[in-house]
Amino acid sequence: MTYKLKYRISLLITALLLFLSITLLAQDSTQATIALSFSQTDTTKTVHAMLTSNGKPVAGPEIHLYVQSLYSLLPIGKVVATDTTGLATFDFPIDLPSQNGMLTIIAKLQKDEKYGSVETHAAMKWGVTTKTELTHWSDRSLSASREKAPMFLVVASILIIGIIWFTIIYVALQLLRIKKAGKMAKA
Amino acid sequence: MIHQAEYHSLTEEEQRQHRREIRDVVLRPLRHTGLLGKLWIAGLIIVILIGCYAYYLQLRYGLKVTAMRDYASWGLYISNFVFFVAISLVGALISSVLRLTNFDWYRPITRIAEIIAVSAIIFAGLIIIIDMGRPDRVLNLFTHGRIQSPIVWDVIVVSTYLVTSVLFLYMPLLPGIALCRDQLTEKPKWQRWIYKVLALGWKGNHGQWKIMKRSIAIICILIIPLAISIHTVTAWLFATTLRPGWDSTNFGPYFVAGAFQAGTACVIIAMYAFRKAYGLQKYLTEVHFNQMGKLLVFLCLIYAYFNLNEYLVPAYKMRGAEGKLLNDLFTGHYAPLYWSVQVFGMALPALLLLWKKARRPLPLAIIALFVVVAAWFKRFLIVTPIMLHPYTTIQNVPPNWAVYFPSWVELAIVAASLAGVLLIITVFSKFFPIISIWETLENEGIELEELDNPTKAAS
Repeated sequence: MTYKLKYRISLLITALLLFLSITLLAQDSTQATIALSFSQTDTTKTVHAMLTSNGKPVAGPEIHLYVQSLYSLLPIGKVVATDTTGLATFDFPIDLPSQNGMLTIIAKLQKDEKYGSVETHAAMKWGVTTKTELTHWSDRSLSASREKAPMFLVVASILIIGIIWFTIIYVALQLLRIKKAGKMAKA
Repeated sequence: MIHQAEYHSLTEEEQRQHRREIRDVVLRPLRHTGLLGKLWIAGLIIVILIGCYAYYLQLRYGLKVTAMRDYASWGLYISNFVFFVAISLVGALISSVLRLTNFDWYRPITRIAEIIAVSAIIFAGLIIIIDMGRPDRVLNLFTHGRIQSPIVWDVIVVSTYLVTSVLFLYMPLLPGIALCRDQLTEKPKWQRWIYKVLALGWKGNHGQWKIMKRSIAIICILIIPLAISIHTVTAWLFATTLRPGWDSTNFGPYFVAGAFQAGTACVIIAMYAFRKAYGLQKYLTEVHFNQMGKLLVFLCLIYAYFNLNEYLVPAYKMRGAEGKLLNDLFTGHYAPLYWSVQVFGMALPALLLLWKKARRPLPLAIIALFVVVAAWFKRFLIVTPIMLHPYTTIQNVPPNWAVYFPSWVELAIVAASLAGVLLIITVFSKFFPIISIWETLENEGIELEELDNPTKAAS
């Protein structure tokens, strides 16, 4: 390997390292985080999403607020742009149902040109606990298990199936009578 | 065919000759299969073998080899199932309704209708199992099935209708089997043994005739509610599901009307094919085609009435998801297929068959073919577009899952099932008389004992 070639390779590696460092540094400089805080009065609940980058508030980007539902994210209100203090404030509904009262609240900055996508979540006991109505769970119904089918359906099914299959078996037995009648004629 | 008075005006020798002639004509296809017949059977077997290979792939790799996904979880198989159930109803219509209402012209075509019913219902059951992906899970229906579920009702009625249809085919066939046992002495030993066993020692004595006719009368009555039930329950599989297009109280009678129409068209095609292939012009006469043509007009008009109810009433409201579905059918993606089915499968046949010339064998068979093809696509339109238009969209699925075009595996399996139905009918007609001799001749006033004792009759 000639000296010139070695020189070029080291130059290339240096340039590559320099590029990577700049890129990493550049990314570091535009990394953002969202911090959630909550406040409530007797009649209102409020979510505050603070967007910061390198410890400094970021003004302008739009923050989306969601609550995790069973299969998807439930949007809460409209998107809110952060103010000069980096804060986006959302009025939170007071009547969201939840099985145990816990709600997972998610704040998102989506595909921002400078900061990319940023997301954070927090759990709050802000849901209205729902109670499943179990008073009729042991009743017979169309939606119950096989053992709890409605009695009218069970009786009607057995009657209809019984009558039809009795007739079918009766007709099938006539085939034996036909055979017997043939034998008798022969005798 | 001759009439009763004509038969009795013949001399004894002429009467004997007439009976011999009938037996020879009806038994001829059982004695000999031509090259065309062999090619036809070979072609059907090849299609079935391709379908078996496709099913092997489906068993090995699962339902992912089909085009069915989260949206269209019911596709070609279920459309085909509904089609088979539909045409199976014709056994009840031709053999039972016409018998009970004292029409006589139906007699030579009863067996054709009955074998279509049996073969179609066999494949209706099979195609459902194929659609399940895991055939071993059929057992779950019995171990975990709920009587509240329309799927369990369907399993019950399909199996009950199959057993009843087999009885309805077998019972009037006994004299025919006995004739084969006595006449086809040149057949291999195993075939003669089958005839002997199946004939149940039929001698054609008074007692046997009495029991047989009484049994047929019982099945005739039993099979009508059963036939209506099987297709109504199939309709309920859809109607009890909360989806636009299926959420209809009209669905049961709408399906039954369509079934009678499609089944009648199938019988007409089979009549034409057997008439040509087996030289049965004397027994499947222009009179039969004329009557069947009139029946088809009547059934097309009834079906048109139910179609009006099914589409026009919701189209007047064009409400929500149902409106989107109807737009897709009337002017959207499925419009060419929808209008072709309605025009060529219902409106035009009803109109053309008003002319007597169109009710002659060949034109009627062509029109019936259009009706049957349209009936098959109609079932596709009843199933697929609705699967693609649920009330709520399915989340997090690839966009191409919201469209459905069957894979080659599905097409091959469905083609094999259609070939299977045709093969059963063909093979049956090669083993047993496709014309019910005693029912045809009873109409001519020929004594049943004479018919049943060919040696005596031929002497």
